[in-house]
Amino acid sequence: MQSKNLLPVAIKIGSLMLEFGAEIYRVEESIYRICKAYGATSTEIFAIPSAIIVTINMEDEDFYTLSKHIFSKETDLDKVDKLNDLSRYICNNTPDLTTVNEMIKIILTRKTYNKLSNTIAYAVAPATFCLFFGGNLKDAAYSMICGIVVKMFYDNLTRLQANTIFINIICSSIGSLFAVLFVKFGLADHYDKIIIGTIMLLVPGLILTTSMRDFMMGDLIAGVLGLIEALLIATGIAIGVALVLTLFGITG
Amino acid sequence: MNYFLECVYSFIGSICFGIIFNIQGRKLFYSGLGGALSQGAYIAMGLIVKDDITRYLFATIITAIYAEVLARIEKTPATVILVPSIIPLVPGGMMYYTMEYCILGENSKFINMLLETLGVAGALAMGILVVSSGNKLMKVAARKRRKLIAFRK
Repeated sequence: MQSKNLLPVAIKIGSLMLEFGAEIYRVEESIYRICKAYGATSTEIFAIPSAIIVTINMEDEDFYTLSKHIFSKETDLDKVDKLNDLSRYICNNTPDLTTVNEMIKIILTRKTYNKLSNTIAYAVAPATFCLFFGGNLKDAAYSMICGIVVKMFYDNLTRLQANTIFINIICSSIGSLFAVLFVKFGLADHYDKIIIGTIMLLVPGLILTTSMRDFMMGDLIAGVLGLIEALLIATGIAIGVALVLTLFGITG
Repeated sequence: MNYFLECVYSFIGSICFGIIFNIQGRKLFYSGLGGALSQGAYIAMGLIVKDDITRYLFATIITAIYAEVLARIEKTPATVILVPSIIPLVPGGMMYYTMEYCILGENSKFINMLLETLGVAGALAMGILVVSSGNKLMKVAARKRRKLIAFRK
């Protein structure tokens, strides 16, 4: 096994895990174990949410370094799960690298939920949280529409590579605009409950959880970055909602 | 009845978030169950403690323990179960009212609500932190013990 063959595969598994929303320590540990399983005598890894740098050394070889910049961030916990299984399998069985590459390809083509069920999820989640926070059934029905609209905007803005805070300002303001309009036309009763249900879709629960787990494992840089991102998103949501509410003169 | 309905809503909501995060198969059901559990724990804690932030803290700890245990059984990263389970505890409503008091110009209420929201977010974070650290501690201790036994033999 040569470093220059092993290194790209190891870093590929690590970077995919990071892109799909794994914590830093899991990525570092996976890369470390894979390299060690194939006989690297030393493995040094530096990983933050936007980059991974790995240096490994094999017996009677020089040191090799490879770095990778992580761009997209789409959450897909199923793939994290399967990549985690794969790295465990590699450590126990050390298959040859072409097999590993094929297995990565199989994982990447695993089925995801289709567009319809995703949309339904985006519609039902605001409705349940609308009821949860004390809205009535009419509010819940209209918050479904808000959820679908938010999903449409979210997907399209993500595709256009808008930045996170901008996406959240736009999505939350569109969601609350619809909520306020529904109430203005007398279709629903409580605009606040509809808005709360809708912004639950945008609230950074995942990022906060991941950053806390990063903190716990001593990855302070990743933890701070996650925390700042969560704060920015929360601020963006607040700005978006406040924009619409003041525009309609509902408050104050 | 009201409490039961809240748990049902949490269950459905968590499953929806599970679909959004693309969790497949049995784990999707477990994440919904976690959502119901987190809300149930929050309600149950109301019988013992009156302070809201403490309630959130204990509810988070219970949910995180549930996630870690299931992660061990299912051989999956704990995040997969934990993230959708914790969603019903996320202070979305408080965030909204903080913002509303802010633009209403009711400063004392705004500061109160802001502190409460930050407190709840902190409680969530602390709960996750405590359980994860405890889990790590147990793992290391188990490894050390195994080594010790191997050494004695």
